[in-house]
Amino acid sequence: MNGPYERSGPDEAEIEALLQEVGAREEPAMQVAEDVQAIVHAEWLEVVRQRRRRRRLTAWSLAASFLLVVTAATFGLRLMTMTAEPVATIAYIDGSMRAIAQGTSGDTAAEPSGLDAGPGAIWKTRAAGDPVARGETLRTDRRSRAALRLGGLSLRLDHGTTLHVLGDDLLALTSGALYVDAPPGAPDTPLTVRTSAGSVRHLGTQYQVRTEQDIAIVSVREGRVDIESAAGTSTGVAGERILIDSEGQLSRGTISPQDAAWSWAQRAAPPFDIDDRPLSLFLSWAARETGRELIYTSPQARTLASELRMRGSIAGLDLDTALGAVLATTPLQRMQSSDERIEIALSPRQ
Amino acid sequence: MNVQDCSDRELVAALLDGDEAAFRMFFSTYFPRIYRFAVPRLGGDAEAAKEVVQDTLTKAVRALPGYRAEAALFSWLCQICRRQIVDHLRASRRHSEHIVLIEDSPELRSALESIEAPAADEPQHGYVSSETRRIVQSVLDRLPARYGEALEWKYIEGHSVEEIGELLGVGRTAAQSILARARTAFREALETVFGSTAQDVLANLRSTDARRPGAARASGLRGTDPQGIVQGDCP
Repeated sequence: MNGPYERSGPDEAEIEALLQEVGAREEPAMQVAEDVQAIVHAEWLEVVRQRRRRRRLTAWSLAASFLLVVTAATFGLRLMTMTAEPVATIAYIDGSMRAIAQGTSGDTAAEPSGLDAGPGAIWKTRAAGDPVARGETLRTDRRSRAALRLGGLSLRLDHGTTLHVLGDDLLALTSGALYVDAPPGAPDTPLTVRTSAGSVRHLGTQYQVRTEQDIAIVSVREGRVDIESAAGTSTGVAGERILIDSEGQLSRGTISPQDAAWSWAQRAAPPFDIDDRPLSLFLSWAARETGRELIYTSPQARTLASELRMRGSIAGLDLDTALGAVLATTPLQRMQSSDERIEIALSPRQ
Repeated sequence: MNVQDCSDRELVAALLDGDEAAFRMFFSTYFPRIYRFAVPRLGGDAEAAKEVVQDTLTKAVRALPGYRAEAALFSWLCQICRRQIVDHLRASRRHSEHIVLIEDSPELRSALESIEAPAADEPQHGYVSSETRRIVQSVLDRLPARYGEALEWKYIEGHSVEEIGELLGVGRTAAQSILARARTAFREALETVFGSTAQDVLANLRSTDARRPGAARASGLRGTDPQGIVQGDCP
């Protein structure tokens, strides 16, 4: 709404003319601002809590940390007197990942920057396809991610993650983030993820656990998880983002399955090999990796997707680009309906 | 919290004390600016910009205890954002699509970052009109407090001083004072960056441009482009 204003000289007119010529700055979409604000606000609350918490110590975090050390040390000691039992396989590494393998030979080269292994630790560089033994500690650096296969589960490690493999159903996360995916039809694999703030047990689902010092954030994409902390046992359901503070208190927020906070896990996913595989399998994988619902607009589209077999490779392509590239070679197309679904239809020329 | 009376150091101190009003002020002030900083450097990819900006601001809040006000808060945030952009481009293996903007040239970047302490002259010659527009908007983003918004509200959207006061949460007299300071800061910033007055910058813009700014504005930032690609005019 225009209104009168006082002029303070000819230069004000010049400023007005210049700004009108340049035009207003673009503002980000409101939904984008709200989504980002929610995440940043949660992180800010953590920082504030940590600062307040540093003024006092809690029996729970001390006991949990002690238990973590004792448990890890116990398993480490067992490794020295028995053959390491593989419980998982490294499916994919983007960058590099190291592991502490006590009692085995390995590289004694200088520590990668940013890792804190302590004196005398022996690091071994790991590669895709390597087994992961009970008692090993895995670490990604600040630019690397990795994926593991543990039973029927797909696990993803984010940048700067330290994960202790205590058993085939027990992991301890001391830094970074772990994403757990139990795809439909996979063998039932029980798993508990411990952090210094609390433990998370999945009940057949997709979720991630992120920890920083003595706070954990559990985000559930699909299914549900049980959370155990000093404050008791609770359940987290799909769409929830739960912060466990150093005293085990839970605070709940929401997170959509398509939120940007999940995107790192898709980047850490092992590449999908499309060669000689049905298109429908690729589409299901793409939908699951992005938290979207896969919808076929007609039975004919669904049938065609299951009958078409792909050739070639999508290595190096991001998922949306790969979807476009693959569908362009078929009589199917993706309908641009919403961010929450991947909608597949017959192309108009069909 | 009255941001007009709040230095970067004071704002950060309030944030670390858990002041919700300080957080709202921090986010509303810096999120749009960092978003505008990131989008052209990511080739107009709105989805990537959202992720990068989210990572930038979460890392920034974690690093707040270490902020010493040696640089302006916005410059500090831009440094973090640059690293996130590099990480993102590395991870997505799109080195060939890395956009290099003229504002990232060392000389111009130095001039933009020194806006609060104007120094040497910088020539404005040689910029095409799209670059000039973007640099002027970068200047607005780098002005202290809410000066950029106040100038746009008055000279582009035509709000009255009273309305601007309401938007800023201050009275009419304070709003007039803020606008006067904003004009001064903007003039001095233009001198620092372009080595010219607003009149000269405008004249240069009109002499090299055949398009009106409204027609060139893309819709990607509003989220209406389903592919998230903005067809901009980045060099």
